[in-house]
Order: sequence, then C-alpha cells, then structure tokens
Amino acid sequence: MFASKRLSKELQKLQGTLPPGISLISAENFEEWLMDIKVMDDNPLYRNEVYRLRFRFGSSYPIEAPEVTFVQDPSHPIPMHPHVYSNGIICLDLLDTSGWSPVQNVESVCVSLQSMLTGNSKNERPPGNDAFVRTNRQRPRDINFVFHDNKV
Amino acid sequence: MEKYDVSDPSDWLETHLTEFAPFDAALRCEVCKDYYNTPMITSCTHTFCSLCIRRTLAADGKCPICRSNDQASKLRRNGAMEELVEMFKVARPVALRLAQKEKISPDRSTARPRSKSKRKAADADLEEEAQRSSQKRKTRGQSRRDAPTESPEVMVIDNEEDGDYQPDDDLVPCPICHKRMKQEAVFSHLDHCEEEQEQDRRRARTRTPNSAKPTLGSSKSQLSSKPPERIAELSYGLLTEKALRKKLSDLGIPSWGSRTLLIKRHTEWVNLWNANADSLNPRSKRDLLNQLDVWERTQGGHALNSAAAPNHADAVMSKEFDGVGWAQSNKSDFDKLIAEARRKAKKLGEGQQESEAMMKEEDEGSSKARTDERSTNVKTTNESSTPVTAAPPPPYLKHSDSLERAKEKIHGSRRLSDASSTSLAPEATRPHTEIRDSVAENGAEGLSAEELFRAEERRASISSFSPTHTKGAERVPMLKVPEHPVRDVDGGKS
Ligand SMILES: [Zn+2]
Ligand SMILES: [Zn+2]
Repeated sequence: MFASKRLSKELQKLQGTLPPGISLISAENFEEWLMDIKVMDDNPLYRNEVYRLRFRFGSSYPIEAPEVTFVQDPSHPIPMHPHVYSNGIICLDLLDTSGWSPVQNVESVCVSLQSMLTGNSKNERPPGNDAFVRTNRQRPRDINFVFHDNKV
Repeated sequence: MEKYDVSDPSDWLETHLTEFAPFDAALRCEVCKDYYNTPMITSCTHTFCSLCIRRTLAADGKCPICRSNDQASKLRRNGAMEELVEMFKVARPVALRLAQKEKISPDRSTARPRSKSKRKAADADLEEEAQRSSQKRKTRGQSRRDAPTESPEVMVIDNEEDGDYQPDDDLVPCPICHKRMKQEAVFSHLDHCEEEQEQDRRRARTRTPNSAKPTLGSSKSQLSSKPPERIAELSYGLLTEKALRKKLSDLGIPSWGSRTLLIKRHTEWVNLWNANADSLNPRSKRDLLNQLDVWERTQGGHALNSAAAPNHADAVMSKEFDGVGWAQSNKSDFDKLIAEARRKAKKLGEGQQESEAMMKEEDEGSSKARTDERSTNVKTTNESSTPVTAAPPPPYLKHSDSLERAKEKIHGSRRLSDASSTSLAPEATRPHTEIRDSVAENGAEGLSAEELFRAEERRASISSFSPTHTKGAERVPMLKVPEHPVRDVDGGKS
C-alpha cells in the first residue's frame, strides 16, 4: 500500500516531462519498471547507445532502496564502467542500504546513473568482474559491497 | 480501503497560481509525497509523517533528508504544520478550481487596466471572488449589484450549497467537511467524517465547503489532554526468544515465527502504534491490528518468500522482492492507481499519447529511435517555445524562458562549485544546500514559482547522494551479514 501509493505519484511524474536522455519504457505494475538512459554529451564510451535499467520495488519502498540493474538485450548493452559489472549489477552507494534515502526516487536514480556514466573516462569493469559474474547467484540487494578506500 | 489522493503540487503549474506549487509541495512529506499525516519534527528540524519517519528511523536511524542520526523517541509533533495541512486541504479544491477557471478566461487581465501584472490580476481576482462568494452567501436570494463583472463560474461554485448554509448559531463546523454540529460532537464525528464525505460526494458531486471558519483549535485541546501511551522500543539483543515472544503476546499481536520475524513484527507494531498515538484522531486497536495483518501478508510471515526459509536471515531481506504475493494482494490497487494516474496525465495533457505509447513499448529497436527523437524534441522546444511534434507540449514548456533562466542560475552556481571539486558526477553530487543557496542568493522574487519548485524538487531528490566511487574507493562483493536495528532505550527493561 505504502509503496504503491508513492509509486503511483512517481509514475504520474514520469509520464510527464523527464530530464533529457531519460525515458520511461514500461510500468505495468508496482513491482518492476523499465527506464532507458542515454548519455547526453559526446563521451566516446557511450556515444549512440541507450542503456536499459530495471527497477524492482519491494513493498517497503521507499524506506528500502529499489533494486536497480542494467539489463542487456540486442539493442541495449551493459555500459562499460568501473562500478558496473558485466552482468548489469551496479555498485553505487546510492543504491546500497547505507547510501539510500527515502527522498530518492526513480528519476533521481536515473539522473545519478546518467551522471555516473557521463563523468567516466575509464573503459574498464570493476576489479574481480569475471569471478564475480561467474559465481554470483545473489540478487543485488543481498550483496554487500565492501568499501576499500585506497586513498586513506 | 484507503482513498488515493493523486493530487500533486504540479497541479498548480497550469493555473494562474503557479506560486502555489512550491507552497503545496512544502506541505508534503518527502517520504510518501503526500500531505503530512500526523507530522512529526526531527531533532534536525525536518518534518515527516509520523509513520513515515518512524519506519525510516527503524530501518536506518537517519533523517531521510539530511542523514543526521535520530531516534524515534526524540520526535515531536509539529502541530502548526498539521493545522496548516488540514486547512490547506480544505481550501485547495476551491482555490484550484478558481485558478483553473482564471486561466481559461482569455481577456481576464486586460479587462483590468489597473493591475500591474497578470499575476497580480489573478490574485486580485481571486480575492474579489472569494469576497464576492462569501457576500453572496449572506445576501443569498438578493439580487447582485455587481452582475456585469461577475463571471458565470463564480455562481457555479457555490450555487449548490446554498441549501446547506446555516445562519449564525451555536454550532461549529467540522474542520474537514464543514458540516455544522455541536462542539462536543465534532470529535466523534471526525472518525466517520471521511466516509460520510465520500457518500456525500457521490450524492452531490459539486458540493464545496462553506466559508465559515473552522474551529480546529478548540477541538485539538480536548484531545491533547489525554495523550495515548507510546510503546517503548526494545533492545532486542538483550531478549531471549522466549521473552520476546511473551512481549508480543502481551501486546496482543501474533507471536509465532522465527526470532527475526518476531523482531520485524514488533518493530512494525511499535511504528504503527506510536504513529497512531501521535495522531489527533487515533484509530482503534482493531484498525491497527488490521494494518499489521496487511503488513504480515506483504512483508511479514505470510509473505511468500519468508515461508520458505523463515529462520534464514537472507529470506527476510530477499522477501522484499516477493513480487508474486505482493502483486496478488495489490493487483486491484494497482489497476486503480494506474487508471487514476493515466486519467490525470491525460488531463494534464503532458504528451499523453507519447506516454501511453511508451507504456506499451515492446519493440526494442523502435524504442531506441524514440528515445533519440524524444531528447531532440526536448532540446528543440527549450530554444523556442514551439513544439516540433504534434503531441501537446508539456506545461512547463510554456514557461521555457523562465525555465532557461533558472537552469542558468543553477548551472552557474554549479560550475563554481565544480571548479573546486573532483566530482565525477556533478549533477548528482552537488550538496543540496548549494542549490538552495543559489535560489536564496538570487532572491525568491527573481525566480518564478515554477523555478523554485523545480529547484526544490531537485534539491530534495539529490540531497543524500555521496559518490564513494569518486574517491577511488573500490568495493568487493561478499556475503552480507544481516543487521537489524538494535535500539538502546529504556524500554528494554520494562
Ligand atoms: Zn509521509
Ligand atoms: Zn534532517
């Protein structure tokens, strides 16, 4: 109830005007929505590509973060980024229990991911990508991304 | 079943009263996006619905807006906000209708040469009409002196309620429905007011509240004299499973299930109970038990996934993704909401055909083309206010000039701050205070209501994003250790 009420408000907004490069693809229920994002500048890593995001909402959204992953299909690749695994799982603290806040929403997550891509120049996957993609059977929300800050 | 209010601050943007959009938004909770329901203020002076903030604090102990640590026991009722919200909800439909009508009348502002701006004219008109309609109630049945300038819509608005109007008496109006009754009766009436209103609405769809001043203040003092008891939070770590089970059955709530489930259920019950205790119009324990039962079916022990491995902590986490059970229990709600949202979108005329088409979009290839087309479209229309496609332009495009100005201002201040930061994601990482400051510096009057509103919306949604990855941080996936909020409060001893 809580989630559906809030999501219906978000949906109403998403059906209106969205920031450039962000669009609603499908929202047939309150469990799973698809959004497309496109990097708006000329970053050669992402030029001419559209990336598809799948949002999955729990019944306690927005208290709990949605599960957000990139999905791959013939016309939507997984973007190359040091925080995006090749299976589409995203390592971003905004989507983590510690970084999520209920004031975030679908649009703000899309904007953040769009910005994350826009600012990137590294043509690489996260360290340990291959092993992770091979072995991971967990849903993104059950994975704990541990932070190792190299600079400190 | 709860009533769904899909009203939105943006409703004001297509009216003459665009200034009401940020006003309307300021009366809404950032968690549920609805008007504050039993608003509570945190230690950091942010306000949320009681249940919203209690659930959030139980989940992560932090304010959703500024991320300061806080505790449910420190929440205080925000009585002034509550009164504001209730009064605004009453005034909103009337004001919205007037403001929309204003917009339709083409020569409204030119008919009044004395007004300096359209906006002022609109305000003046609204005031006049408000005066006129209250006058009219008093002089009901008499002829109207100012017939020539009076627009027909004013009559439409209060025509039907003349029959309901009652002259001065000892009665007071209900603050919600404005029915008049003895003061003592107001409180018991409030419990049923919404249902009765709903029925009334079915009988007479155009009914509007009458203009008598509600006396919420007096009724409020009655209630606050006997505040319901709060339930103390527990230090779950100190309790054996047996003791915990007893706590639950003492409270009169189900006490079956794993320890994890017991803790989750107790937490939810404390939130429901205490939020209800905060309320001016508390509901019965039976209502709360029903609410807990809904929780049980969607997130608790009767949610599908958790039954599979009730003792496994992961099950508790992953059941948030129990789409099936949840979908079943919410299917009709969803349909209702979708229908409502669609109707609304249609009314707004915000590229309805496009959204509808996108909702049904299945073909991957063409969706890509569509995205390109869509973004090009937005760009072009920002430069000149003429839309390039046949679809009706979104309402904000009508204000493209002011929107551009707002963008420049926000971008300007962003550039300044970017110069001193190594941020990868300038948009998302900007601390929200800076946007607010840029608005403040430029002065609220320099920006239109819509600009303020958009900036405010942006601020709210991006405030808590912190780019750990920009610091060269590296994350390694590993198994998650389940954590549950363990609260250290005196309640543990009770
Ligand atoms: Zn709320
Ligand atoms: Zn705060």
